[in-house]
Amino acid sequence: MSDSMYLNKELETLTRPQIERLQLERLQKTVNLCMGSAFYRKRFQEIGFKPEDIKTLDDLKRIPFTTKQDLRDNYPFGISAVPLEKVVRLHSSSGTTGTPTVILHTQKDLDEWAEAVARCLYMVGLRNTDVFQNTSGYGMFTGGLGFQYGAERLGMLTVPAAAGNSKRQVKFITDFGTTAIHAVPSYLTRLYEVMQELGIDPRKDTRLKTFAIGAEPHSEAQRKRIEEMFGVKAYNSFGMSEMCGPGVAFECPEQNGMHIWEDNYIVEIIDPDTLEPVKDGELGELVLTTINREAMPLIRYRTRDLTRIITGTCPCGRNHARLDRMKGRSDDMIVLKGVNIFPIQIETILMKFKELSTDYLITLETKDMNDEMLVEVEFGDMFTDDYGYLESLMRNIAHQLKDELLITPKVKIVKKGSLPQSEGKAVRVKDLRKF
Amino acid sequence: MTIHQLSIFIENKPGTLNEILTILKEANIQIIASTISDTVEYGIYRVITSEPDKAFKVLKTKGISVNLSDVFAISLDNKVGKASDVIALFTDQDINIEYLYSFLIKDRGILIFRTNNPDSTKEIILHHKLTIIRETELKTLC
Repeated sequence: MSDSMYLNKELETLTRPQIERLQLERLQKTVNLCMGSAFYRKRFQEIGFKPEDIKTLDDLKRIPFTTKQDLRDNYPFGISAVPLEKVVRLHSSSGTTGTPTVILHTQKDLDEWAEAVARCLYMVGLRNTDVFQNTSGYGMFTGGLGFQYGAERLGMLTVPAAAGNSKRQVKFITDFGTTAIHAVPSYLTRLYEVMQELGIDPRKDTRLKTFAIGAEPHSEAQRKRIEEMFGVKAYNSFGMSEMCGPGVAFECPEQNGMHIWEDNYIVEIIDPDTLEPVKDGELGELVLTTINREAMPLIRYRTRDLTRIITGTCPCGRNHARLDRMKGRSDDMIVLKGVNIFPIQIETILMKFKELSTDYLITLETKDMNDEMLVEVEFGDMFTDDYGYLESLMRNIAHQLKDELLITPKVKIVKKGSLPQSEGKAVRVKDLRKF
Repeated sequence: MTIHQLSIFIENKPGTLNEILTILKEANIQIIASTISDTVEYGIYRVITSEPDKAFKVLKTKGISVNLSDVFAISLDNKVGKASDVIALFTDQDINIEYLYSFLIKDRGILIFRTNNPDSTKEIILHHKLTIIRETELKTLC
């Protein structure tokens, strides 16, 4: 294992012209691969496009965007560019309301994914002597297996703790000498609380030095607070299942923007209303084209994440573009404790309860350093005289929401008419968290 | 054999109780008995009024979540121990009192309650010839 600052010096220090040459080559390869996908074949046919029409990177813009709805409409395997026998893993989004989205991977895709994650972790100083604890959910959550394979590839001692059970997490940290953690920022404040309860000072009683934090938007102030609490360096990690998972972009030791690996993705930032590219450095919606994937290449995928490119060169020597922190979404998706939630999921569950009116309000706030969701509902009519029945109704609502959303919201019944009404565009979500 | 009681949903914060009382006042409805307990976030305010149907309509028009429920109303001699004698009749038959409130008026004691078995409750009332208050008599109590 080399001891330089780059896991793959050649790819990481490509000049801009070299990056663009590589991207063109890989884009041409990708659109050819897409001919194996019924979905893309049809799309190319509709616009009279052939793979050989890609002569410059600009020609990418001839192809229409791919959206989450396209993935839903072609559930489960309609976008696949390879025969299913070549697919060795899929990751599916959660929930039983609406249609999930499925991402497919060949063995090569999994290897490239692990390599990308390893590259990120190596970039911030992790080596095979480190002990890496992953507090992400496993199973369908790409943060689980994604970091697992990347960390193993680097030769670190991995602790696949998965999510929850904070006391046990702390025991692992102290017993196994964990030096690096992957976690969502809101969970780290919880871990710190538990350490304090147990009388453990992370700076004195643990070997923690490096955190990879991501999967939910958070502010620079939050990051700094985490670093101060634990006495570590915390690096922002960006990814999404559609692109593989974690490993798409990651901060370097400069901590001023996340390098997105442009040997794996072509980056566009567009105005979500006009769909035109924004000026250099302006805020817009991130659109990504995979150029190193086989099972399910995605062309011009609208991520709905809002960000901007930090212009200029980075002192770390990498010319891969730097993405600023995610500033929000151009759709209504919420991220809470690292879990993606669409308000329609909540609405669909609530509407199953005939006792409730059609009005509801979701409030997200940070209480005692924990992110919480409060769902307020109203009765249509007062249909009972039984307090026990009302309580069990609320528990039932919370239980069904938990099954669907994978987080447990607090459910509260409020006075009829006190929530924003359904006429016009009612406000359904109030996000009081500070990013 | 039962009388109507208003069951009103109110949030546990200042002003919600008085909102109900004001609506009833303005509709000229007299409260005979009522109760609200210290449940945490919300409660069911239970009210016996002089005109339950009118009160129900008025509250509904004002957008209040209200239900008309049936409760038993038994009248006892105003003497020590009478409540115990009556409740024992239900307990002996394994009937559970879910909630109860009571008040004295003139020479009578009134028990308002709900049980987990209305049919058996009615049988006991008939069998022991317990005195019940009827809705029509409620107005005379005012």
